[in-house]
Amino acid sequence: MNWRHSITVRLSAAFALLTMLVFAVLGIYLDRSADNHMAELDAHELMGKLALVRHVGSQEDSPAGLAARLSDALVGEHGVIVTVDHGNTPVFSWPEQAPRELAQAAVAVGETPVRLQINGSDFRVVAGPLLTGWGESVRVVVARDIAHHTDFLTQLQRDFGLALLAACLLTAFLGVLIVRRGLRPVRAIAQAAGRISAGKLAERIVDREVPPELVEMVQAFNAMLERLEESFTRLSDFSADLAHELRTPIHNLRMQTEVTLNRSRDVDEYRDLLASNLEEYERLAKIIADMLFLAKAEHGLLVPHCENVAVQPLCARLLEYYGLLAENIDIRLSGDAINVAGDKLMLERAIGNLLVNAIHHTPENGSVVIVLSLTDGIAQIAIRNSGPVIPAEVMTQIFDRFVRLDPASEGSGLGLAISRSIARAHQGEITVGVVDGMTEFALHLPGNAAPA
Amino acid sequence: MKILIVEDEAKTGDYLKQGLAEAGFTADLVRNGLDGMHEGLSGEFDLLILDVNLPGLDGWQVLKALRAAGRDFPVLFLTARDQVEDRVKGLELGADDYLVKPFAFSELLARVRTLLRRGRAREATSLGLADLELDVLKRRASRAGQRIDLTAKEFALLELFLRRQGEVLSRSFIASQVWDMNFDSDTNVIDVAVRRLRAKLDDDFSPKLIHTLRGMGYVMECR
Repeated sequence: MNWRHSITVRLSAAFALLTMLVFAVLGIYLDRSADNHMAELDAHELMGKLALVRHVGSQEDSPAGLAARLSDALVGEHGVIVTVDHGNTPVFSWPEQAPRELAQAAVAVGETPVRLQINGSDFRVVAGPLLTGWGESVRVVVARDIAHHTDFLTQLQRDFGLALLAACLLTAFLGVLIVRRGLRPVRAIAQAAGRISAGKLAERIVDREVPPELVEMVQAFNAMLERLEESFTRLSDFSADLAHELRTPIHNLRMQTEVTLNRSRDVDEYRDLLASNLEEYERLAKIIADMLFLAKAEHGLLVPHCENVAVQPLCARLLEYYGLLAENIDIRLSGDAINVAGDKLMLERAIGNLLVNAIHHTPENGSVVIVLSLTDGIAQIAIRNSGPVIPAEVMTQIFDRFVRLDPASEGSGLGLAISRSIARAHQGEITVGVVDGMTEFALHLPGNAAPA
Repeated sequence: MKILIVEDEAKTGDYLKQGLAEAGFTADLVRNGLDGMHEGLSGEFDLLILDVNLPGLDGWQVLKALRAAGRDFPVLFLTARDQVEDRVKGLELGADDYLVKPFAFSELLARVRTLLRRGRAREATSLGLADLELDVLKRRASRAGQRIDLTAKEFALLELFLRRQGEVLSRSFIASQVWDMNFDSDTNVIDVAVRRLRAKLDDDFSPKLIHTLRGMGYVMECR
């Protein structure tokens, strides 16, 4: 299996990626808002402490009084550092061992909380001036050790990372299950396709049981089967027909040769046999040549040798020739002078076949007419006969091989099929119908008006 | 008349040679293109019958080489594939006629005779057999001094028979020569045409001049 192209792998990976993305965005948002929230809490506390120190400082009238009252007020506060300095002289500091570096580091700090790092610990710091009750101008610095906040955030991030990893794995795993389940109809189609073989081309996939997304594919698949079955049937019919057609002359050859050889005969009888054999060989050769012609046409190998063919003289010539077969038939040529771009020999053959058929199916005193016309660049060569009308159910298959209207007919049953393949090789078509009560076979070929 | 046959298929070659010999020709048979080219270049022949599909050197190459060397005897080529390109190619390379396999031997014979006749002195304008006479220029036919009225095609058919006295003419050859119909149809048009000609020519006279050869065609001769 090609993993790079596996739908399961790709979709599961996409699910996992999506989960990761969602979790990452969410994590970043949570981290930011927790951080902000804590900074806000710290700021609130620091500003409160600063206000407290200012309030006490402005009321007390000695540094000792200030220290006593502030110490009382700050009892129980952990992680809070308060220093009051007069210039470089400390006036008060809480706790008593508070790092001296704090006041120096906070020189530039104002009443907006600022993060500072002192002796490796993180602090949030505010500072401000104060005029004490005893008349001295001092500077107050309030700082909060925020180690437990950063610890909390780090912990949060780590937990979140683990959750993200777990979620990714879980979605990937669930993705595999879901995709497998989702692809079940495809597997069903594959199984149905697997059941189809040359002998069972009639099998179809029922599109009612298929998800709507796959209906189009299934229909295309069924249509392909339809076409395959059709060609296959045609091909096997073709072989069967061919075998049948070849069997008769071969059977004749064998019978007459066997019977003749059965006992000694005079020379004339042998001559007769050879002559009869020759007739059968000719029939065989003709069938084979015609079948080859049709096979070539079906594979698009029939390439007309194109020239401008004047249809009227060609039809006149055909009429003169085949007219010999139509002693008591009124046979006429009418219509416009037209040219067809095509292979003269092939056109002669196509029209000739139609003409012979028309004459064969026309009773005595009937008529056969060739009508030539030109509409929109399409030349029409219509051959009409007053013979019996062809039943509608036969008309649809009349151009197929070996279809004979008259079972006793001497013809190969390939004439109309050949005429059709010639028409198609010329980018034209052949039609059959009834016009004015006459049966009409018509060739429609790209053509133009012949110069007068 | 000496004919060279270049044909690799054993039976076809042998029967071609036998048939032509029995028709009064001297026929040499070679079975591949190289020998064919060698013979064609060194020997004196009046006609070449050339199969296209040959082992080694194919028919086209042989034909090209012979024409390039200035050999201008008529060439009739045989092909198993009835394809327009083959037809055109052969004629472009300088062949004079072609036949598609399988063909009737009588057809081949008729074409061979046509090719050999070509280019010779003007054909006779007055033809005859027994008491039948034909004036080609005046378009007049008579038998035992009695005028016979013929249509244009009947006249052409009779002229063909007379020019080819004693030769078996196949139906397809007659169709192509008289009506310019060049494909085999399943019909018996030629039989009808010959029957009509016979009615005018033979029915009221003796001896009969047009004879049917079953499976092969017709021949005109005084038996």
